[in-house]
Amino acid sequence: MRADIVEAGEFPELAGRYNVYAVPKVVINDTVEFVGAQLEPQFLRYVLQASSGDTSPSPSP
Amino acid sequence: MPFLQEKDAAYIRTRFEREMQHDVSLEFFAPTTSGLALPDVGGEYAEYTQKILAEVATLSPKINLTLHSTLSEPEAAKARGIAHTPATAVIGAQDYGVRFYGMPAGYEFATLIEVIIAVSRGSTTVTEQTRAALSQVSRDVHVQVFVTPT
Repeated sequence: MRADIVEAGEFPELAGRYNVYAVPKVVINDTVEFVGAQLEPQFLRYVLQASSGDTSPSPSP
Repeated sequence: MPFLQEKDAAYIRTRFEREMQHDVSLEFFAPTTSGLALPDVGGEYAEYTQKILAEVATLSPKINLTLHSTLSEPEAAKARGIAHTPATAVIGAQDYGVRFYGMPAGYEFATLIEVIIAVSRGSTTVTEQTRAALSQVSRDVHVQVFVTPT
């Protein structure tokens, strides 16, 4: 597991690739993404979803 | 000119003293680290980042800063999986995979301090339940958090 903290303003290309319009925006394995702080259980659910390869939209918390 | 005010520096110094365990290596990567910024490659951001890291490194004897030029040491960047510059790898007793891309300023400065402490301790405040669930994950997980300094 690795974690990058990316300064969106300094990497506009990367921010553009992931459609970063608001921060914090989290992208996991290029497939699962969400905006804003999440409680730990919901964050975990996104990680598990990304690691299972399931890219269907997750149910709202 | 120092980036931190003395009272903030004193606060962080105390936290590092109380909370750090293992040594932490801040490995900074930029095209050039000599202070001669190349135009059009984010030279100014890189220069500021390097200054911030240098100042943080003075706040604890457990923090070591190393500077790497991606132009003259591409293999060092590759070894740490550095994808862009300026980048900072925060390495503790082992490499936990934490990288900062860009300048850790504003709110992100606080993130840097917390990350240094977490890496130094080799632990976070994540619950046992979450740890157990994550230990079952076999695929690589790459989390990218996009932030701005304000």
